Amino acid sequence: MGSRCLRTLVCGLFFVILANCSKPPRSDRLVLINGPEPESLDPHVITGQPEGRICKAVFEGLTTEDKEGRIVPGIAQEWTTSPDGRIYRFTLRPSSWSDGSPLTAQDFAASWRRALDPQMAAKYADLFYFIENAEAYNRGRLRDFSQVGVHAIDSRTLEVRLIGPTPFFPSLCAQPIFCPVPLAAIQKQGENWIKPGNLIGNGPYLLESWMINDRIILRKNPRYWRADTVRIPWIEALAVTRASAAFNLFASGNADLVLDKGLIPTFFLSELRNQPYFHSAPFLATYFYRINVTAPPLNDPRVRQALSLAIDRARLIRTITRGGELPAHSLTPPGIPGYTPPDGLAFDPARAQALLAQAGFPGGRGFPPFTLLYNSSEQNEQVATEIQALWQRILGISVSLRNQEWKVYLNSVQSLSYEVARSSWVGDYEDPFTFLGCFLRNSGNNNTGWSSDRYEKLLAEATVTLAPEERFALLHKAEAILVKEELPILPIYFYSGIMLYDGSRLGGIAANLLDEHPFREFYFRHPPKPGRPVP
Amino acid sequence: MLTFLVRRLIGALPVLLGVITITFFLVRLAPGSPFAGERAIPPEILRQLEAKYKLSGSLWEQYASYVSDVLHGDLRLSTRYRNRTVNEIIAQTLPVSLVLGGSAFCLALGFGISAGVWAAIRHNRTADRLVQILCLGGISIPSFVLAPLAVLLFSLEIRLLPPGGWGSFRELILPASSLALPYAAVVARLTRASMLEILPMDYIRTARAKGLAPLTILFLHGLKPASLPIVAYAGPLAANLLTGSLVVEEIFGIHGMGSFFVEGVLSRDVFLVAGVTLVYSALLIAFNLLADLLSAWLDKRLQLS
Repeated sequence: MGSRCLRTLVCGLFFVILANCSKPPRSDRLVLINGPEPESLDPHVITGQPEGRICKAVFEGLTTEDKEGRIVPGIAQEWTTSPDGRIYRFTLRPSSWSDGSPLTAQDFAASWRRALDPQMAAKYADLFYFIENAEAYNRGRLRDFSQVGVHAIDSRTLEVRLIGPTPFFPSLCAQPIFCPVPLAAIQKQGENWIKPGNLIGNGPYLLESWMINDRIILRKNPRYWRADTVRIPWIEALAVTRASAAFNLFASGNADLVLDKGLIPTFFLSELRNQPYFHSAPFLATYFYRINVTAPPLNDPRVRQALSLAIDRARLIRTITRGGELPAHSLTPPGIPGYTPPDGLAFDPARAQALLAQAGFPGGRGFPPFTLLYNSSEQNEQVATEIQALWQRILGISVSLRNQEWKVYLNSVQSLSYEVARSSWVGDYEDPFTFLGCFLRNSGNNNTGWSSDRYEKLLAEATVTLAPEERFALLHKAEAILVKEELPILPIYFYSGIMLYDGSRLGGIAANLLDEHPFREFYFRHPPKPGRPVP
Repeated sequence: MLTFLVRRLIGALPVLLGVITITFFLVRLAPGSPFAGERAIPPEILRQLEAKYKLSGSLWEQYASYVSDVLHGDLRLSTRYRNRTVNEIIAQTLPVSLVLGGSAFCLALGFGISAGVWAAIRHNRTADRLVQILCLGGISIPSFVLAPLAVLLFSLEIRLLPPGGWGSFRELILPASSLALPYAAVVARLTRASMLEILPMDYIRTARAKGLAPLTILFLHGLKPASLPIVAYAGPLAANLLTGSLVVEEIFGIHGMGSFFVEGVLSRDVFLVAGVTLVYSALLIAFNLLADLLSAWLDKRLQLS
C-alpha cells in the first residue's frame, strides 16, 4: 500500500514538474495574434492587413503612421509641395539598410519602378496611378521609366510629379507598396530574398524567423534611424485563424494582444464587451449591399431608395453585429479630418412604401422576386435574413437568399451575375476618394453596372481642385448622388476595429480610424501577468 | 516478398497520377480565379500573374507542363503564399503533422491495447465493464468536442497546459491526447474482442498446462495472433491520424499540413492542393503496404500476393 502511494505521488510530481517547465518570463517579448499566415512579406506583393503589419515593421517608407494613425515623416525628413500641388519634393534623412549600406533616393525610385513593373504584377499598383505616366508604364503601354514622374535628384532628394493635386499623397507614401526594397539582394537571391537571414530591411524590426503558419519572430533593428525609441526588443506574431484559439491564447496569458477583428469570438461578444481588455473603435471600412442596376426593376432609383429606406440599421447593429459598429447612411465612414459625409437615407418605412408605389409596385404587388447574394459567413447570413424579413414586411417584396463560397461569390459579383450582393470596402488612406473612386465608370471595383455623368464630372473636378474645403465640397456632392439619389449601393454599417489587450500593461497603442498600430511604439508598463478572467 | 513489394510500388504510380489529374482538373474547373480578390486587378496584370504561375494557355497545356514539373520533383510556386514553393510548405509542415499524428498513433495503440488486454483478462468483471463504458464514451465523443473541453479544463481553469502553440512537449500533450482518444477506444474494443477469441483456445490451455509464465502466455501466445485485426486497422488509422488531424490542428493553432489543404482549396491554389493531396495519397499507400507486410509477418498462413 505504502509503495503504491509513493509511486503515484512520484508519477504525479513528475507530471507537474514536466508541465511547468515554462519559457522564461516575457518582459522583453511581445506576443501578438496577427491573423492568417501572411501570403508574402514582399511589400510590393502583399494585399492584406496581417502581412501589412509585419511589412511595416520591417520596411519604412518616406512617411509612416504614428500610434494615432496620423501621417508623420518616416525616411523622408521633410517635403515641399509646388504651388499647384502637383510636385512633391522629399528630402531623405541619412539612414541605412539593416546591412549597413546607405539608403538613398535612388533606392526609392528603383523600388517604385519594381512595384510598377508589369512583370511584377503587383495587385496594389493602382495606388501609384496618381503619379504621371505610372498607369501607362504599369499596363505595359510605356516602356521608358524615365517618363514616369519619379526622379531621384540626388542621393537625398526624390521628386514626384503627380497628374493632379493629391492632398493625400503623403499618406499613400506610408503604404507598403511605396516602401523601398533591397534590389541588389533581390537580384542575387531571387524568391529567397524574403527569407530570414536574407531579408534586408530598413524598418524598426528585422525578420528573425518565419515558421510557416506558426509564427514570425521580429528582432529590433539596431540600425533603424530611431532605434533608441523602439522599446520592445522582440515581437512574436502568431498565425492563428480560429477566433476561439486566439482567445484561448490571450485568456491564458500566452498572448498579449489580439489585433485582428476577425479573431474575436462573436458568440460571446456581449459578455466580452464589458471586459477591461476589450477595445473597439471606428474603423475606415463600410459594409454595404451592391445592386446590379442593369436590369428592371432594380434599374429604377426609386426602387433602390425604397430598399434603403426599409433597412433598420440601428436594430441590426444592436442585435446582430454587436461589436460597437455604427449605422451607415453614406459610403465614406465619418472621422476623416475635414470631411463630413452626406446624410443618406435613414429608416423610414412610410416613405419607402410611397416610393415603391410611385415606381409602380404599390404594396410590393407585381414586384418580381429577386436573390440576395452573400459570401458564406454566419454574420452575413444573419444580416441578410434580417434585411430579407424587413423588405418582406415593409415593402411586400419577396427575396430569396443565396450564399456562395468566397471565390465563387467574387466571380458572380465581378461578372454582374447577381441582383443584390453583400460587399465591403476598407479605405486605404484617410480621404473620401479611396471610397468614391470605386464607383467611377471605369473602375474595376464598381461591379454594379452603374455610372453617372454628374458623378464623373464632380470627381474629375475634385481631382484638379487644390483648396481642401472646395475639394471636399465637390466630393460631398458626388457622394450625395451615390447615397441619396441613385443608390447603386445600400450602405449598412461602418465596421469597428476590435483589439484585445490589457491597457494597464501594454502601452503605445491607441484606437485609430486606419486600425494602424505600429509595433515600434509599443511598450510594457508592467511585467506580464499570468492570465486574464474569462467572462 | 520482393516481387510483392515491387508490384505494389509499380501499381501505386498510376494511382498517384490519377490523384494529381483529378485534383488538378477539379480545382482548375471550379469557379473563381486564384488571383481574384475583393479589389479588382487590371486585365494586363492578371495576364502577367497567370504567365508567372504558368497558368496561361489551354487547360491541357497547363496540365501537361505541371505533370512534367512534378515528375522532376518540382511542385511549383504556391499562388496563395506567393514567395514559397509547395515543396517548401510541405517540408516545413509535414514533420509537424507527422509528430502530432505519430504521437497520437502511439497513444491510441498504447492505451487501446493495454485497456483491451486488461478488459479481456478481467472478462465480465468490474474492470471489463469500466473499459467498455469508457470505450463507448471515447467512440461517441469526437475530437472537436473533446479538444475544447480539454482546453477549458487544463488551460483556462487549472492553467496546467498551454491552450495552443507548438514546439515543446507540454504543447503536444493536449492535442495528441484529444486526437488519440477516440481511436484508442476503437483499438481497445478490437483488442478485447480478439483476445476473448484467442484466450479460450486449446493451445493456450496447453501452454498453461506446460507451466509457462502467465505473461509469456498472454503476450507471446495470446497477443501476437490477437493483434492481426489491430494491425489491419493500424494502416488506415495511421493515415487517418495524419490526414484527419486538421480539426485538432485548428483548435490548438498548430501549423500542420492539413490547414494548407483547406486553404489551398478555398484560394484555388491548384499546386498547393495537388501537392498536399499527392503527399497524403503516397502516405496512405505506404501505410497500407506496411500493414500488409506486418500482417504477413505475424501470421505465416497469409500469402503475400
